Amino acid sequence: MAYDVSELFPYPRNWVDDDTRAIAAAIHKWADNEIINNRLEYQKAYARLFNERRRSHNLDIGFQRIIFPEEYGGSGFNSLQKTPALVTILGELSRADAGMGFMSALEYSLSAVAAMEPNVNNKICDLIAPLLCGTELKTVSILMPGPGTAGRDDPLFMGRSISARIEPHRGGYLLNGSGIRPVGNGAIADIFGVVCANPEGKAGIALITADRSGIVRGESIRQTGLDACLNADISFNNTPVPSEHVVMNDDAVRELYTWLNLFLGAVSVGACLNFFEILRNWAENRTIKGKGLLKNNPLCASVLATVAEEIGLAKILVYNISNFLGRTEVWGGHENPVIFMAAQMFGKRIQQSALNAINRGMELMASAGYAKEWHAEKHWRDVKTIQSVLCGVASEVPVHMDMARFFYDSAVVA
Amino acid sequence: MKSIDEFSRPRSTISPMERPFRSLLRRLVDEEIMPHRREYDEDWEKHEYIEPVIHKLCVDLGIQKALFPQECGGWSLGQSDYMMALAYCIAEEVGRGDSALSLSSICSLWPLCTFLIPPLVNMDLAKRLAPLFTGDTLCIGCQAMTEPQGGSDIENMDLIRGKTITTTARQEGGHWVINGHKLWPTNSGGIATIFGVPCTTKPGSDDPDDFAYIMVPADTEGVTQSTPYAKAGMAADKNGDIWFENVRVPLAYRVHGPGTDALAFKGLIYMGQLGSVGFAVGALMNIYEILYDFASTRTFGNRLLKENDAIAAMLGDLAGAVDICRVLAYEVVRLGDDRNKPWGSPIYSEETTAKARNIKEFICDKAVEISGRAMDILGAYGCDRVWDIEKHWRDLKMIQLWLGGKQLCQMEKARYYFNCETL
Repeated sequence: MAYDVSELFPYPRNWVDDDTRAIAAAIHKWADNEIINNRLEYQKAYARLFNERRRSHNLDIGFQRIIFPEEYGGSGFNSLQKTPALVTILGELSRADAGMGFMSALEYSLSAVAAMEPNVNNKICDLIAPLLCGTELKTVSILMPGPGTAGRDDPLFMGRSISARIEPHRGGYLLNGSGIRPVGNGAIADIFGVVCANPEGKAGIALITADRSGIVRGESIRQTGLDACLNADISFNNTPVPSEHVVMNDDAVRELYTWLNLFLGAVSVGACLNFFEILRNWAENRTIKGKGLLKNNPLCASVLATVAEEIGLAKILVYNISNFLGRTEVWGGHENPVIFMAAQMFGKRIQQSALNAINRGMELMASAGYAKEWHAEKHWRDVKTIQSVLCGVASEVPVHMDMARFFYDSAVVA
Repeated sequence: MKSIDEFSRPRSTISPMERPFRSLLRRLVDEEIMPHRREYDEDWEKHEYIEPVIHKLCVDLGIQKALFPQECGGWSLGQSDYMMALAYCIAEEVGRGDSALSLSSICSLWPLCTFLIPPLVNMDLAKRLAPLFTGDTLCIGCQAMTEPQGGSDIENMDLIRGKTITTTARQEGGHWVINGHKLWPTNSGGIATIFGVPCTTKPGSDDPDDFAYIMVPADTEGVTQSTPYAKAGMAADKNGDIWFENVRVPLAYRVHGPGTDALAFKGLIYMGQLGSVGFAVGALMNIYEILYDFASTRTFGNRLLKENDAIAAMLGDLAGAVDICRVLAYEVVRLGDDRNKPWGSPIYSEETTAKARNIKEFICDKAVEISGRAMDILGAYGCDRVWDIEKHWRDLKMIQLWLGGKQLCQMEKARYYFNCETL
């Protein structure tokens, strides 16, 4: 039976307008034609084809500039009400390749902090919009707080160590930090969004372009997944940052966490939707015990149901975060602490569900689950990579501490 | 620092030669495998770095001749009441460094278990094949069971009883003539020296008498192997297709005969579980070592990770689970090493198969969970290959999926514990 995987799992359709659905359908078709139906060719020449397809999606179709206001040359998706649309677009893109979705998610997260109404930061838009709304493919890397090192007393953001420091210098700032691990794209980024602390230990975000002096990239890191999103540790050695490119505000860091949880959640759900297609195809064509189809065996059907349940749950949570953000008249936007907490809490759960869906589904595919030929394993590695980098450190403990502070007024620092 | 030797194991199942052998393996893993395992991960196609290490384990250390009787130049390990303990020790120690390397080395002996473990010994075949395995040349065995249409049906002997096997063995004069197609076995992909091939002498039959297990040297005319598959992990284990087209081997290459071949093959299912739990626990112990290092040097809230109550609880759970997994793994050892005791059961018995599958499933589920959680504790470093946990995470998932995976384990358990009759 023919089915549309994008509409198969229930979600509040009224949160996504007709225009967005048309855009999503176009990406869906593009993904089928350009990537999904030519997986083997795509895998064989991955580095080249990834860049070609990313260029086509981001520049030829124009999704690189989507968030920026029209006066900056963007597509004007910079109102919070457009959040469900951005989630939908990222999900469709990630269905084709989570790596491509991941790169867009980092770009959208940083762009949203700069350009999303009602807090448009024109100075930062002036810096990054010409790059992201231009004619060249650009890559964003984000450096978040993470683990600290024994014996060091780091400034903290809700328990997480901030490894980058800024200090005032001639009307601007100097940025310093050694061997900081980005969320991704460190080796290839054109723009860095760096969570940093000032001498008083207050957290903020510095935005800098990769051509600034004093930026040293470490060796490229081989990772579990997201092969194209080449990462590297970054060091800043007295890197000058104009004061207007620094947002010295805890709320901005919380907002960045919120966007990352939302957009990376959408990426993992998108990857899961394609995994579902692969698994469904498997279950409709393979037999068990020398007779019936897998999907008609009660045990296999039960596992298949669990996979669908986890994907459905993850998808509905992603749309719920986007709805919290979009319904400013109800929730009031990022200033409301519930938004940050919900994004953290649901974001964690989305990644867990996405990974559990793939883990359980792989059980039915046996060796085809881990053979590269079937592509399921790529989704598995990509989603796991997203989950780990989003944790930052210590698995779910930092998020649990965030939740304890919110729900119980816990005084826990770490 | 506590060492991995803190993890529990019943002292009564440790063989006299295990301590020195384990020390030898530990040193080899620390000095020669750990420093290069990332190179092995990239070497899945050519085995330029991997093959010399397999040679060291199988030939220089002598693993490949271990099962053969002493009169054939082996160690007579198949006769020993500590056979499973020593096999487990190898699987665990080498698995700590690289589970695929462990797999490839140990699985080389897998087909031999059909005729070198009492009471199912075929001395004539042992004498014929001993020269291959007891010399100075690497000899790779490959248990070629899975077929394209059947998936895990072949491992489901209690129910399917070989009915779906399409690889045929036909007697013609003094030879067996074999035709069929196998895929995915460990040590295929072009490296096998000899295959153990489950066949049917009567296609469609579920009579155990029509099941045949035949040894087929890889250089026999009519045997073709594909290049290795690309996989998520387990680079030291090559997998591929094998085609048998009118392959002729002497009648003596059938391991036993009608009925007994099926029993011997069922014993292999137990051996597969034993190896699997060894690889998994070895990997888990190394994950513990890596976590110990990370949690003792990295901080959250400017306190060492291991000194934070919430994180310590998680670390405690992980170490506790590794300990329990090891205890359970030794129960699989005991099941096998008690095979000749008055209270024991043959390794091909329903009880041994079901209980070993039960423990394998439990350990693998835990191992997948622990390795995933460990990656998250390391955060952005968890998916970094330099920290090696992610390699274990990829490999452990594969261990969970092979040999019929979780669902077949569940069915075997249900049949055994609930006397299910129609599953």
